[in-house]
Amino acid sequence: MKTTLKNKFINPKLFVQGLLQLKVAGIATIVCSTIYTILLPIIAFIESRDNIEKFSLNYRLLDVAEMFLPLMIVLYIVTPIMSILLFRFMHKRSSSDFYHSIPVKRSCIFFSYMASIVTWVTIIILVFSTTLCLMTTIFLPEYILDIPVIIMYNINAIIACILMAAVFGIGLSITGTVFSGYVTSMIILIAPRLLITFICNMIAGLNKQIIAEGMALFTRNDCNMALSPILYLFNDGYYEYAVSNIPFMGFGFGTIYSILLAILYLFIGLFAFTKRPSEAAGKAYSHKIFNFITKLSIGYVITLFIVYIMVETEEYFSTTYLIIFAFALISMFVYEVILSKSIKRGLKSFLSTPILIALDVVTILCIFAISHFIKNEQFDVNDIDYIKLDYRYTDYVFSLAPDGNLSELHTSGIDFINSSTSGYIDYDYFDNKIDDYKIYDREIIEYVISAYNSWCSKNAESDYYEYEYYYYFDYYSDIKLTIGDAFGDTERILFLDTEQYNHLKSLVSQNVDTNSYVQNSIPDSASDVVLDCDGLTYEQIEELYEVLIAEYKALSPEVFKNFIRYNIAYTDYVGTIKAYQYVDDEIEYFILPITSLTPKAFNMYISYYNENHKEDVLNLMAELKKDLDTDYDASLYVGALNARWDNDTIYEVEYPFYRNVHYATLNLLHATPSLVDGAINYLSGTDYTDFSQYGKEGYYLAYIRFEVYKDSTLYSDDYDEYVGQTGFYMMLDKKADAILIEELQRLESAYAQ
Amino acid sequence: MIKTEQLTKKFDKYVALDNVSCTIPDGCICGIVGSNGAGKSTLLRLLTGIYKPDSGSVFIDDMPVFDNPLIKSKLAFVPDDLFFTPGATIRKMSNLYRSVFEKFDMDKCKSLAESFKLDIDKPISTFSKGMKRQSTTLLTLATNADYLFFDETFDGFDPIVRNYVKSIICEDVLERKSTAIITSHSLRELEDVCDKLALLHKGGLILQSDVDNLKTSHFKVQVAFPFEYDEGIFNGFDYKRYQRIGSVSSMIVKGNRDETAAALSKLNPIICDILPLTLEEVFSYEMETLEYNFDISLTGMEG
Repeated sequence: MKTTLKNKFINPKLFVQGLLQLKVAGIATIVCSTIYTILLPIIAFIESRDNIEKFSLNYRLLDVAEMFLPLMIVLYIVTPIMSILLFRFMHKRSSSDFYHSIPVKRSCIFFSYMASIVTWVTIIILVFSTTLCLMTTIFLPEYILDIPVIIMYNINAIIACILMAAVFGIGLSITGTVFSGYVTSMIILIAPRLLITFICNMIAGLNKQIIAEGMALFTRNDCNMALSPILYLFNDGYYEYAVSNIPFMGFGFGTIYSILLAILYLFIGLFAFTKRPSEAAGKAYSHKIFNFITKLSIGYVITLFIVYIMVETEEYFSTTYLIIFAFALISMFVYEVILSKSIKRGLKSFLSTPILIALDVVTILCIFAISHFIKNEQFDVNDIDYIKLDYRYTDYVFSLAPDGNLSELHTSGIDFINSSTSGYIDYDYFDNKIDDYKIYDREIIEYVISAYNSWCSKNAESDYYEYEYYYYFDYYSDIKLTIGDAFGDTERILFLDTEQYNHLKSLVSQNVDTNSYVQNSIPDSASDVVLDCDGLTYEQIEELYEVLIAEYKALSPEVFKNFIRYNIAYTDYVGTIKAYQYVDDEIEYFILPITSLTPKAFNMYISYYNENHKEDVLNLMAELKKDLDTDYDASLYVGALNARWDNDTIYEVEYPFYRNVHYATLNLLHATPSLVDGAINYLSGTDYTDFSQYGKEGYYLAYIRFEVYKDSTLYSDDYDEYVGQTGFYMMLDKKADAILIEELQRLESAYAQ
Repeated sequence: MIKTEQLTKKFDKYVALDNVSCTIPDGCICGIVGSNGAGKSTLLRLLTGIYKPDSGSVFIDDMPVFDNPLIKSKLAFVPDDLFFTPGATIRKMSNLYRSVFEKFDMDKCKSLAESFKLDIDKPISTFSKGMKRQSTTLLTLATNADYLFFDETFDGFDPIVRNYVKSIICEDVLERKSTAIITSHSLRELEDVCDKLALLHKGGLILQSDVDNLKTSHFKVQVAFPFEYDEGIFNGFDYKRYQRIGSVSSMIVKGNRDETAAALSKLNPIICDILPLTLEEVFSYEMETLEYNFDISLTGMEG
């Protein structure tokens, strides 16, 4: 009999045996996750069903973060349990003897059982995500599924689980009990990443221009995907230091790194498994050295906190250090006592104290050496090919407005043009889009590098240069700067004062290439985004979106640049399209205003809106009339505007209607049937649909909205009594305007009686 | 054929097996006896490739055993510490065995279970100690392996089951020409079933021989003469443990029984009884021959 391939790597029958042994854990997980995925959309459906109307669905992208919790359970609980269930045979003499006596190579046992774990995890994740998608489609039609992103998210989660299983493969192979196996696995998983994170943060603490995660590719938190969800949770409050993306998102370096790490760990695990003597079963460790390393790692990880505090505070003697150090030694002692059940052997742990101190001293020296190197770092403009500027970097802090005021920023919603009513230009689609754009303009590069080098020089001369200004006052702004040279990308923080900030923004916004890039970055096809637009069907929105984008892109770069710098409050927008897409691995939406600058889209929107709603207004009023005995609260809202554009610049937006404000709201409480009849007759009998007159003097675009509540106070939160609201557009001239005003006044006086 | 050369296994500083060299031919039942800690289980684990030798080598059919699936497919092992998966029944365990032993015979497994009166669908955890051992034994026999290893297998069996297990092992060896290696601390358990016997003591192999040869070449002689004599009269005989009470001398003689009887009769004894020896007596005799200070009563081998 020859050694076949199946006997070298995976034995199909042993693989099936592995699946059978994990049957209970696998099925239990599937049942629990299925219940979760069935209940989640149903509960959301029950909560929202009363509010769902034909044209009021708020279409949005299903956030894959909905899958986060169950995937975390699969990653941190199910995968370790399955690994322990299959590989615990090594820890008992009887089972260890059995598996080591069967006619299968040890490597084959390892890979067959690993394959069983990965298969179960994959099945669980697939069933879970498929069920969630199905249930969401059935019960929450307003959620649009981005299937490629969901698949990618799940593949990354599976890679993280493989990495986790590989870690446990090593941990369980070098130990002899479940406890020591679990502790060792956790140390293998956490200690290297914790060490990297600690050191990077300490260096970044000493050098404010450094981004801890961005020091090197492997320092990114998403590199180790089995740990990145936890690091992400811890990082949430310190977004200014975060470089990596939401866990499991994107097929980037994190995925490649995690795959390579998983392969490396699998082969280390394989080596440990095949070299493990069967007689190690029941002992704490297969070799004493592993016990020593694990114990020392426990102590080292704890004493890293001393190093951290020491570097941060520059205080070299403190009772806190003694307490932490004592805690580290006690932890090592307790660990040894649990394993060996011998106080004497536990006490021997204290002999590691000098090694622990030496490790901490070496760590501190390394940190100061690297920090010294970075502190004196200067970039040469001639070596730099391009730069990237990320204004969003300061999202959770504050961003500086050009006039020196601060605006708190949105994290996920990007207005295509500024929606702030205060009129400050802060963070818009332009800023958002250029964060990943390589700027080759030498003037911009020279300005940025000069500002950066200047700051670094001052910082090197006097530690923490104007530290307080940068972190506690609002005179400075920080931008994430990516410097691209022959050696790749380097990420740093660029500190700018108000003048520098404004100058830089001006330089960037005047750059033709940049503007052109931003203008062309809007997705052309409706199929590339998930859309939402109040009052239209999804098909209408898709059609409208493509018309709108075509018109946007047809604008000259200059007009486009000016347009996105407007404040939306000062344009004649009639509606907006909200477009969702995954940008930088998180769901982001941008809001596109529909103004008369894009006339085809403007008319199309009004046309579709009226087509969908005019009948509804009349029906709603008829409903009101039928049942006037019942207390109805109703209101009629009328808004109107007109605007004129001078090529690229809007020079006037008028709100000419009714008592010098741009809208009127009339309460129709206890309206008489004749009054309602009058309103119906007026609205149904009037045909003011010549929207081509828009923009001409004396014409107004009016929006009529009608709201009805039953047995409830107007604007009550009691949605059970909500009957409906709807509206439509009318084109009014002064004559029509006068008639409408007369009607409204009549209604208002009737109400007053 | 199983062959070991200078086989040594240590656990930390403790030498469990020291330079053991032996050969076990195919188609026989070989018993390995020894006291607790003699190295019997360690030897079996080395022979079955569970342990890796620290030095020396194990060959089965001229190939090394450790991590060698080709050879391991010819081996099946009943350890002293039995293994069952959680919630296992004989049927579930047979599926596990079937997945790794290509020659596993499900019909044979069922038939043996029936003969043992074991319910193959009943959880093994509910079985008694003896029934658990029966379960593993029948599963091992159903593998149809060429080499069967039994470590303290008869422990926990009642006499009837013990004899039955012996009979089915013998049957298997006869029918399939398989080779069985059985360890025990009780010589009496093995003497009626084994073709060959080996004695392990403190990690060393003291003796290995055919059982028939051992039994026929050693016997006890009781002899008396009608005249005065001294021990010198027995010069020319290979004997040990000479004792004389009155005119009757007794001793253990090694050699050909007929030739010894003829030689004694030429001395005109008035009494000449030639009696067979138990294996314990033979082993004891051999130990003395090898100048081992070996008290069989201390080894637990007296059964």
